[in-house]
Amino acid sequence: MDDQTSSPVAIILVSSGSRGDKLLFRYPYIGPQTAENTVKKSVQNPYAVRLADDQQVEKKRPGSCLSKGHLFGFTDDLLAAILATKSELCGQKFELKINDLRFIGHPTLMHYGSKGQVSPKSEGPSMILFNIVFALKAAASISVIQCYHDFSKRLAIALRHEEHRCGYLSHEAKVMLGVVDEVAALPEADFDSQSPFSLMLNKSELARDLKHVYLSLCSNGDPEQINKCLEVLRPYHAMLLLDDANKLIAELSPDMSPALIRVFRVTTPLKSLRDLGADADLTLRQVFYLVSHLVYWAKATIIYPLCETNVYVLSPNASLQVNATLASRFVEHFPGMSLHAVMEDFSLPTQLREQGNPLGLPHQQVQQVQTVVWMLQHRLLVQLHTYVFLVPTSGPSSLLIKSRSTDTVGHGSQEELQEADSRRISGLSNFSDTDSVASEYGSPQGSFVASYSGLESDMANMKAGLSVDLDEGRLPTRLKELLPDELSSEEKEAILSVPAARSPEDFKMFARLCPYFQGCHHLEEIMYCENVRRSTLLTLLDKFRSVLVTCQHEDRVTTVFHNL
Amino acid sequence: MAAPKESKIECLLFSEFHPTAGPKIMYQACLYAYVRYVLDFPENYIDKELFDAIHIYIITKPQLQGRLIMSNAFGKKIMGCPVCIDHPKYARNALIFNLCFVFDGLANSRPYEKPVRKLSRYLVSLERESGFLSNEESKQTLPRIMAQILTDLNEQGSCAVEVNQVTTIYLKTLLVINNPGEVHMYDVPIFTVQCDSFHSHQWDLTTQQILPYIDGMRHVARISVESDVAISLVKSCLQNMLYYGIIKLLPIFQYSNVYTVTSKINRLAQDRDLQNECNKYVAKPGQLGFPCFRDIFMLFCSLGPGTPVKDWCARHNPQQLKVDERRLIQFGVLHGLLRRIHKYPVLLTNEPGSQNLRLLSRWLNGQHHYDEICCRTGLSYSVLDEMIEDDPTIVVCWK
Repeated sequence: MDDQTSSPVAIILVSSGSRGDKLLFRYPYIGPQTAENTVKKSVQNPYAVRLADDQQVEKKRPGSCLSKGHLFGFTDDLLAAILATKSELCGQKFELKINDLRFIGHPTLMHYGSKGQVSPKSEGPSMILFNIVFALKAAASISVIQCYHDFSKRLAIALRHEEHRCGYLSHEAKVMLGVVDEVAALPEADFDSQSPFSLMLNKSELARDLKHVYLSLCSNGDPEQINKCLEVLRPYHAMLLLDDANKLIAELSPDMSPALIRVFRVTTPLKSLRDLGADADLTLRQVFYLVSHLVYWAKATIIYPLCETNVYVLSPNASLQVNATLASRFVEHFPGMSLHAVMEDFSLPTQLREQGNPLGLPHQQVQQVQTVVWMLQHRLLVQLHTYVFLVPTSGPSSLLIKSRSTDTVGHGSQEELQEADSRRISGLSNFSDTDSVASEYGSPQGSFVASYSGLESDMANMKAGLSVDLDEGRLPTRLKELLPDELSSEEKEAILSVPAARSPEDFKMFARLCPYFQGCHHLEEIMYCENVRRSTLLTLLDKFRSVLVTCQHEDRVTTVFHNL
Repeated sequence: MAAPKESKIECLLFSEFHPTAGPKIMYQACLYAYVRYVLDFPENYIDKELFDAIHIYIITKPQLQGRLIMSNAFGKKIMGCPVCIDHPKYARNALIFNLCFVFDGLANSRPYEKPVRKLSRYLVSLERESGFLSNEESKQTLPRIMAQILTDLNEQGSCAVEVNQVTTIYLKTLLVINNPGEVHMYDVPIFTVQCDSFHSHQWDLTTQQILPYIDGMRHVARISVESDVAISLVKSCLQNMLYYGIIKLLPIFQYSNVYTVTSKINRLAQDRDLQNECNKYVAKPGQLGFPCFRDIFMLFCSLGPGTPVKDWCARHNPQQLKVDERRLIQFGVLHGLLRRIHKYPVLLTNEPGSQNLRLLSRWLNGQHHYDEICCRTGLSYSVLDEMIEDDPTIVVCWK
């Protein structure tokens, strides 16, 4: 997945009206001296013999429309001509691909339904239609293109709304065209030094907003991947803001919803999303909306809540380059420390607890945690989790193989999540606090739990029989029934023959946790869902180690953000 | 290879700039229900309204001529390469035309980009050599040619259409595969298909020369030396094979390597076919009987950061479990079950302490791992390691 192809190359605003097709604004713009980079005829050598064939040589054009990632070879007038479309193309997706460049927009008529009528509120030359166009690299994926189109459409709707409310767009257009005229009227010498667009940034609010849009869109990641991740968001995950909370509040639009502000105030990387909801007085579904929002706009990422037992290791994508800005920024935050020394420490999986020196001062502990948080924000660390596989016999485990088709335990409320997902709003506008979704996020186990609910009474009845049977050396069949049906009888025998299986307590817990031993649920997930302490779980795993295989790797969900 | 259904060409459109009428559609060759191919008069498939709205992308301004332009509007994608031939013999001193391919708005048009460009070049040469388009008689044959191109490309993915006695148009749709990535001198290529399943004699001579040295053990630099082929050529050939998916690249195998299991290990637990394949692949040759799944699985799961292969072997003794450890690792990396963890030395000060390090200092900026450094400097792993470990100003990061 290449971040670069999803970043825009440029943002362009064009309009068509009584003054013809105009390019109102573009960002990034090129200085006037480089505007002449458009194709020139190759300099003719006056001494070359001109052959008759040469007269017919096809005009050569440069292959690429991009130079160093920026638009090349397109004058303002050319862009205006091709991007200010005819009115017939308004109200639908507009896409134009030229060699390795793709333009995507949603041309919009200024006035609903009419063509060319002048609104009483408009000032100056009338505008018939406008188009906010994103220039992308042609290789961008379909989902990225969709997103940009969607965005262009939303911007257009917003602008048209504002135009009808207070003539905003016509006013801004007038300012922009005014600047162009002003610059054109300057004497030659002055003209060369400034591009009209840089002047526009000072005078026009719309120009500044468009520039801001462009800058924020750079390197945000593939939306398709993000959607996939959101489908597996769980209440035990936590949100990590990628910047200071106060800065983010200041940065985001002033009419932000109060719910979002509450979330910003109470969020910490140690708090699960469920607790976040409780503290911010929101339902879990609302929290998921907001978090998915922030993740989509790259203001936050999803992690597992920080706690002592978390194990972190250096991310394979972490940049180790010496003298990089990252290293100096680290030193600004943590004077006296070296980023590379810390990265060396994390080359081996390290528990957060170990990082803290027990004899150290409390503030050192805090600093350790802050270091980890900083590194997580900059995607330098990944968390490793332990996963458990039940492999009772020497052959492949039936539990694991069958699990493939039915998908795994833990996605029980995926429908709920998907519904939440589809109603996700992308504008940071008011969030409905009256969303009356009563359903709490239920236990993910679904049917497995139900079958074990009568365990208590069963075990009580069995206790007497159990001791008798074991004395006789025969294994009671009822015990076998507690284990998942997918296992073969041979596998069940193997489990029962583990010495720890003789203890009803241990066996009962083991049987209850069997569905989690398919390698898809890490220990923290099991602890959360089953309300089991880590020490208990680890002891149990140790007791049954002869039928279990464990391994450590990163959580698939959070690796989406690490491009692993 | 026939074009996939969802990206068939719906129509071929020939349009030119008429000296008096301006841009107009001259000919259309359309696809009708994938069964009949109909030559229609211009008004039918692409109607006038659509053409009027987008003709500036078909008959374009001079700055856009010669470029591949694709416009998407009204549910149709129109892709063409506008041409302008300047010559006094033409009315208005120039002949401007464009032969476009029309697809459904959601179709994938990338396989047709090269054929469209090539076709436009064909037309240009035909016009320059024999006045193909300016001569009314030969121009009349264009619809037939267009229809044939349309049919053949849709059905076979290629076409060879005779235009006149001396010219045949050859076009082929291109399956677009993603760029395979760079080949480094320290990578080890390994075949992912059976050697005899592709006809090696169809490949170029250089590739044939290096084929015998691709065994999943030799790295690129070694292949270059042993096969006596320049390393840049070896890299090109391998890149080509990588593109077609017949090889994959692995890291060099050494007992000092460190690997870690990835989240894809679940696949091995769940997929019976993969298990069988693995079993056969990793079995120690010459042994009676195959290793058992649990042992193999356990071996994979026990690989992680901080555990070099030699320590892992000492702890678990794969040979005794009937497993060939090299092949196990190879299998794991090939299928994404394992990931190599590389060792990166980083020099933090600007003044390297010892003499030796002054020579190495350009490799110590955190962007080069041991494999690469060893390959480029010719030092062995142990020698390099000793030099690095001895110096207190170098930190070592693994990732």
